[in-house]
Amino acid sequence: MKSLLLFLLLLPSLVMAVAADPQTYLTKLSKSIKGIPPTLAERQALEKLSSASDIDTYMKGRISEYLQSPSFELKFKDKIDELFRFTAEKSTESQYFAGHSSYDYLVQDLIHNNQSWDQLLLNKKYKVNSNDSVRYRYSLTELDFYHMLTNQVPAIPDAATTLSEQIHRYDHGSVSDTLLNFNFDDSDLRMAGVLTTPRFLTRYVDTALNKNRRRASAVFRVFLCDSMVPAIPAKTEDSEKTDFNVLFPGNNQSHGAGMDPGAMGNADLHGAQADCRACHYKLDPMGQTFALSAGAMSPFPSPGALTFKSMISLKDINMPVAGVGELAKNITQQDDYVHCQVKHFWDWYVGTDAPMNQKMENDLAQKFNEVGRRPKDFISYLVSLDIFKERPQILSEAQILARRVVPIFKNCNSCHQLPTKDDMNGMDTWDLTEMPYGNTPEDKTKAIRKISKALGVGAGNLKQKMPPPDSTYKLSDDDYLLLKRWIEKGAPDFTGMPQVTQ
Amino acid sequence: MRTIAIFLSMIFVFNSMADAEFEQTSRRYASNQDIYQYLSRYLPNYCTQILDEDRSVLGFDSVATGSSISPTPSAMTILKITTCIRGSYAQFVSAPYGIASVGSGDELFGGSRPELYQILLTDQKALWSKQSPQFKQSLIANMVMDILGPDAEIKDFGLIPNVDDFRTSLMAEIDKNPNISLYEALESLTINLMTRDEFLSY
Ligand code: HEC
Ligand code: HEC
Repeated sequence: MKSLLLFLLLLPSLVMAVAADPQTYLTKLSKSIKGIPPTLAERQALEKLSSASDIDTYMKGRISEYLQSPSFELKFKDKIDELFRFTAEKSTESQYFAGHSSYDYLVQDLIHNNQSWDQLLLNKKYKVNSNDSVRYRYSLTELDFYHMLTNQVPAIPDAATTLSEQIHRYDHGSVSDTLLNFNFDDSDLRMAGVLTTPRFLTRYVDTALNKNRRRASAVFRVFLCDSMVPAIPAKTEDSEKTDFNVLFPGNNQSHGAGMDPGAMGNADLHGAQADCRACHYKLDPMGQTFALSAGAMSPFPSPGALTFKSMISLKDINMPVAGVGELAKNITQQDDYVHCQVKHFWDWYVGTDAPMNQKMENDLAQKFNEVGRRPKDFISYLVSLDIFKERPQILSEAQILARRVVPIFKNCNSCHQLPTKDDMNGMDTWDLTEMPYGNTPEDKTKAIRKISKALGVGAGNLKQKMPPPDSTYKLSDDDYLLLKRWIEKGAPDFTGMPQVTQ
Repeated sequence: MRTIAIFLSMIFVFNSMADAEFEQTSRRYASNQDIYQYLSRYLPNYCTQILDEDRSVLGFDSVATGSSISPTPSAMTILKITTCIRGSYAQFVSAPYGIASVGSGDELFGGSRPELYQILLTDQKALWSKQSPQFKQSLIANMVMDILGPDAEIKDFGLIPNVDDFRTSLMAEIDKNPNISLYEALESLTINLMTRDEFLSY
């Protein structure tokens, strides 16, 4: 009897995460920051250390050295390219842009000099390759693009020697280009970091019908983590990543492509339809800030608005802006932007599947601000977290289930986890991603009973009540089955312990 | 053909356990770019060419969705790695990529590298079975260390409970083929180790 009790007491600690061996941590650091395993010399140096503080100092040294390495810069640049979905295609366009477009210089500068992440949107000092004879669109070169916007094209190429060093590294040896600087004033309303580079504007092309909505939706996805898909039942496990085109099969470009341009291309017309407004009330005003930039940009700013519902404060944001420059600046001031960027870094360095609850997200957002939103500092913080140092676990099915339901519950949280009591309309605040649901077996069981009742699973012929029928968020069949299975397995928490015990 | 059979059987023998665990870990898999970078650092040009040929088939991130086509290394990835390593070793032997000119792989064979070179420079067709047990053991130990990491780390992953047994079984598997050349042995060891979870994830 006594030994059984002891066993039960020990059980939770047995399944708890354990810190990895320093060698494992070293490899993980090297692989996640640089992409390659540590060298033999590094492993041997670590082997010689025995005191915890020596090891700690050694690891800190590694982290800062790794973050200074060209491999890091290359790998991190890849991540940013992927974020914008600029991954190399075998086309002349990308061959041209790979490595020496104004977008590339801007991002390389940001990484190399550890500038604030906001510079992606705010930097207006563009560098253009003066040997740029390749056309990015029709007959235009990047030089033409910026030329048209500024009258400060230097007569003599302003060779940026410091940068040619950087190019040297990125292009593996042979190139050292002459660069022209196009410096726009920080207050220039027309310019907005990467958004006003030919790279971005040609990746997200505009048509008369599209009215820059594609560009706006890319901005929403990258900077506000709003992929505008929850309104449609998600068919894939990770609805955030669902490609928009998949949702509207039959249209090659977007769901609007098959519509009658006369009727649907008119923003006023479909803007009035409730279904369409769910996305278009925010897409269209943002799209307008790009309105004059099909490929070549207009010398005049184009007004629009930053309009969306904040998922942090739940307030309706509606800020008229005089141009894309002001739009970009306003975006960097939103909590939603900060939380979204934190999520990107979390996915990159800790893992998409690593559990992150609301509190952790808030703490990380605060940390991101504290370090001046500088990527290297934030990465260095993330890779020093205990969760990063955990021993690679072989998870039980129950533990995997618990991790897989979290992304679904995050969507439920958008109603159940509101900041103030007033917003809740008498409903109790409940962070569904925070498990276990309570301290006592009774509390936990009660909570799971509520969820199974709300979802209509379990005994009896229950009706599914959640998410509410009028909610824009709907559960996909797969998500529903996953939740059902989780409940049937006793609703295990992250340690794999069932929460329903009675 | 014979060598191919060996690769396949070895991958099967040693990786079946890792395969079974593929989905059941909290680990992250190296991106294909990472694998690409690693291979091109350690093996001659051929690898880069192979891996460059078709980035999307390899499982590089899809341009359309921005997310990886397959969250874990696909069968295609494994096949490509295999092809690439095999091709690289073929280049090892033949000019102008002869072994003496391969300068970038300093760490791949750990401490055994100079000795290995000595043997291969005098006899490119050297047989595995003709090498001394000490040399074979240190070669295997160094390669396991280089590719999978020190024992403590391998144990942390939990897929190989006893690293000594693992090294012994690697040796036994290669020893089963009396006519295998030293090159072929290196080649199959590299493939075997680089397609393991401990290498592909972190
Ligand atoms: C879930 C969000 C969402 C909803 C709901 C939605 N749209 Fe859209 N719409 C978008 C996005 C995102 C784009 C930009 C897509 C792109 O070009 O990549 C877009 C683009 C368009 C376009 C331009 C199409 C083109 O090919 O350039 C039209 C027209 C359009 N929508 C009409 C509508 C109408 C009409 C409705 C209601 C029946 C509607 N939309 C509902 C998100 C939405
Ligand atoms: C659009 C907002 C919204 C979304 C999304 C939503 N809920 Fe609810 N939920 C509510 C409201 C409002 C109530 C209280 C009124 C009611 O019971 O109908 C509620 C009640 C509940 C209750 C009963 C709470 C109690 O204390 O008795 C549970 C359990 C629940 N929801 C679970 C979920 C789950 C699980 C999801 C996601 C799959 C979800 N909800 C998504 C708004 C939402």
